[in-house]
Amino acid sequence: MTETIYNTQHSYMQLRFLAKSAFDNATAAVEDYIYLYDNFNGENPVAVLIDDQPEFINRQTICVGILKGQVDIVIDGHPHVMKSGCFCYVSAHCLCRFLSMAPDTQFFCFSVNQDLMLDVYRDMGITFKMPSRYKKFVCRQLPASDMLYRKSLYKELYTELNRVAPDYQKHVAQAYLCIIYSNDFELFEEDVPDSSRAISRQHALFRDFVELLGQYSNQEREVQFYARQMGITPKYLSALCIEYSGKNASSWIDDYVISRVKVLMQENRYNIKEIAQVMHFPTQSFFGRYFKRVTGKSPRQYMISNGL
Amino acid sequence: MSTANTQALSDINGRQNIFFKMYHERHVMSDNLEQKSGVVEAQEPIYDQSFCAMFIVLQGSLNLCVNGLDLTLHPNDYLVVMPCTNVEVKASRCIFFSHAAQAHIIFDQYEEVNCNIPMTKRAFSLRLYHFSSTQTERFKEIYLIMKREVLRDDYPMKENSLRAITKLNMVALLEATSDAPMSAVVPYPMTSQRQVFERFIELLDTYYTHERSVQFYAKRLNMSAKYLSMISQSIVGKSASVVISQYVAFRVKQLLYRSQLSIKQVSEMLNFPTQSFFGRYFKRIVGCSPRQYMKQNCRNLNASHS
Repeated sequence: MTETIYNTQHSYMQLRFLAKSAFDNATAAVEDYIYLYDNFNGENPVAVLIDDQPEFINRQTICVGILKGQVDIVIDGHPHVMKSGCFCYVSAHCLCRFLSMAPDTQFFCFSVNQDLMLDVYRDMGITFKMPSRYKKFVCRQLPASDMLYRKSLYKELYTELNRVAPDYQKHVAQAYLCIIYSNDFELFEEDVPDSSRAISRQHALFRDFVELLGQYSNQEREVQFYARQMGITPKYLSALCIEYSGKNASSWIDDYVISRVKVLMQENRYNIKEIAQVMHFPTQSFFGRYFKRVTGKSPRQYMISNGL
Repeated sequence: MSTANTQALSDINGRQNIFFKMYHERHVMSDNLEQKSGVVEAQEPIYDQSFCAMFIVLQGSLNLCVNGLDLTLHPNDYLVVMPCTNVEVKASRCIFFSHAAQAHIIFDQYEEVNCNIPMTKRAFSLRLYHFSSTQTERFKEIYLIMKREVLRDDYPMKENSLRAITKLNMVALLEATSDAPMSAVVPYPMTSQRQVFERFIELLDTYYTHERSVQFYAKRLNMSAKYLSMISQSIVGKSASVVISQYVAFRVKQLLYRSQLSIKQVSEMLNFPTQSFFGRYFKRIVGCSPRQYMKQNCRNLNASHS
């Protein structure tokens, strides 16, 4: 069993968690059972999220509680608003993108592995309803006392995961999630109508593409590669991307690659030369030119301007 | 018994202010955490033989009688009682909380969390641990979460939620005993005499409905009645016949208190020759007649009971 990552010290990493869960071959992300994130120490994530975050697919189910402020997010093409006092669930494998976040936003969230989610569903006695039947995004306005209770459960879970032996971590997480989910069971009672669940082949292809990006963008930057992986022509792939997102395939690839590079920069472990190697660029100068072409700044300029 | 019984025991005798809640015959919770005086009066048998219970004392001392053994729990003591054990709460002065659940629930959660050490039902009828204050605080936190859950309105997954909290408790218990898993501070050394006594209790559990003579049990244990009495005397300080009669009295109280049986039905169930004999037997041990006992303590007394 892999260890849980419950360290919320690095503020930037806190907010890149969603990106991390898409990049499971990236630097430090491991497919762990549960992530816990919050910004109780008051960081303001606005600029970081809006500028840098490409669309991504979250591998894990995410449960968010918004204590203050507001978050606007697009999930599978549908815009949603997470208001203060809301507790929201985002299913796994959704195409997500942050639109905006109010400056005073305070939130806490759990990002839960699918295996653990299945165990929690089983604990709750939901065996016949497959998770895929649930809505992609459910949101619930909670009274203040309930929200504070959840926050205290979150904090307890945080301390417990830090405290107990590794053998018990999963059970503790499972138990707390079961309590929280049981409290919201009625959200999962509704049946999702068939029409909204169906995904056309093109949409499925597009999501496959995004998943592949999550997997290979640290190595491959050619549209040709991804198209071949999917069994379609590069032209068709580009057309799909434009239809579903407005950007063509190579823009998507660029976005993902640059996002990964930025994550690596934030880790503070590598210098520019090493980053170029890790990301499989042929030379450092090629990497520099590529970075400048996409972002407008050279890597060093970017690192300086972001205080790295 | 009604399904979600929220009556505080103050309903019974008007003096106590103890929180007591039984959920669907599966979970029983009681505490006097909010009471200031810490006065606990003797309680009736709240749950039956299929429950596994735990008691934790925060302050003062809790007096219990477990299978004839008089036991006092002190602050930061944690007592786990296996099924088929008679636990009577006697008058005490303490702040405590306790949770009991159907044995299979507890055992299931234990096995889920720890498959290595199998839980044997009759290894000890009770285990007494002593923990640090921080550990006891943790148990109290978990208890309060469970209390809050139990008090919420009924919804389909409430049972699952309670089980999850039971699991949390199990994790906490295993964690707290991790350095020495089986070394509970048992309130008695497991000598051969104790083993004989435990076996005696087991036999009582099986045969109390038919046999109430010391001779019968002594014969089953391959010893003389005198010797059995001597063992009882040294283990719990009571002679064998007293142990038998107190055991029977406890089970009768349990039946009268919890089920809808009439006095006549109970006396037949226990194979007493006549109802009047049963009445006199009960009065000799408990101090009041069965009818008086039911009047005092049973809320569900049906007027048509004979």
